Amino acid sequence: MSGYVIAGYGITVVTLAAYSLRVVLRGRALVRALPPEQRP
Amino acid sequence: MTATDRSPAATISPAPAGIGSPATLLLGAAALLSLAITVIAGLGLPATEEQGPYARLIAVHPPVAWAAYLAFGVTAVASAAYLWRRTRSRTWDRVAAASAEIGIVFCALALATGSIWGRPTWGVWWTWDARLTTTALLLALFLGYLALRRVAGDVDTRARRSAIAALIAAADIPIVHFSVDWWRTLHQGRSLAQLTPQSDLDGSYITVMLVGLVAMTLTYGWLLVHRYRVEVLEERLEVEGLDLALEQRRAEAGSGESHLHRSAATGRDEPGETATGSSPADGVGHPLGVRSPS
Repeated sequence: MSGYVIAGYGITVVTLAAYSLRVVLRGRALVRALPPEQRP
Repeated sequence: MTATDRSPAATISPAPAGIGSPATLLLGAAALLSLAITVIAGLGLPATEEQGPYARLIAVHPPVAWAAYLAFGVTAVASAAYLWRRTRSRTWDRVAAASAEIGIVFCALALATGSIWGRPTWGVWWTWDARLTTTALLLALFLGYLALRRVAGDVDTRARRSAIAALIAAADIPIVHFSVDWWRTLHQGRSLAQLTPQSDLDGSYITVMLVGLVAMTLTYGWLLVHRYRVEVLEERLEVEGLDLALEQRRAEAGSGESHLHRSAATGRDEPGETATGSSPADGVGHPLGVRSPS
């Protein structure tokens, strides 16, 4: 298997996973920052 | 909601349900499954005579480029809906902002995977080809859009100028797409045009590319739901911070008055400093470091 192909798939999967995790964690942090009565 | 409704509290809609709602969980599972199928099927594609094993990148490169088009397209449509009086709503502004950020991730991925594909087939990581240059310009334009959103100002003014900027930036999308037809480019023809019965591409390649397109579309949808939720929560926290600041100022003003009263009782005519030692008008002590809108 070519290193270029592995790199192409790897960078796609890792970037999407990292961004998804960042969005979810940011959402959770914001919920925690809100007072309990304001939380969704 | 109308443009005349300026109350910060009135612009906040209920935050969407948490990440554990059945619909979002189903969407996430479908995205994850289709991504896994794309990777496994894509890596298992046969090598081609022309490009050897590098043709396997067709399962990720065109789909992430498609997702970037989709995300920026949604930003443009949402921005137009915000600008149109009949449909003006803060919801559209939030959708535009959330979708633009996701689009930037996909656009950067399209450039990265294209560069990785170009190195073994063209011999260079980058060339000022029409397709590559217009795609890089698209990324720069939407980075500018996000930067513009961070400029301080009234919420409605910010939303309006951002919407105009998004529409200007989105004008580059058709230029990117048709650049391979309009100019002589090193980049191959439109990959999405291969999804026709007349295509000379091997059937397995078309199938895997289609699965990749579905996977990236589902991933985009899942990300949009969650990124929109972040947008709502950030606004809610900002309004909460403003409310706290107002309460703090009222408390400071109240304590200042009572201090003056006590001083008068002792025969002094100086009110003294407030509890925080700051002027009520300077915004110091705000929990988010922002000032109330004037």
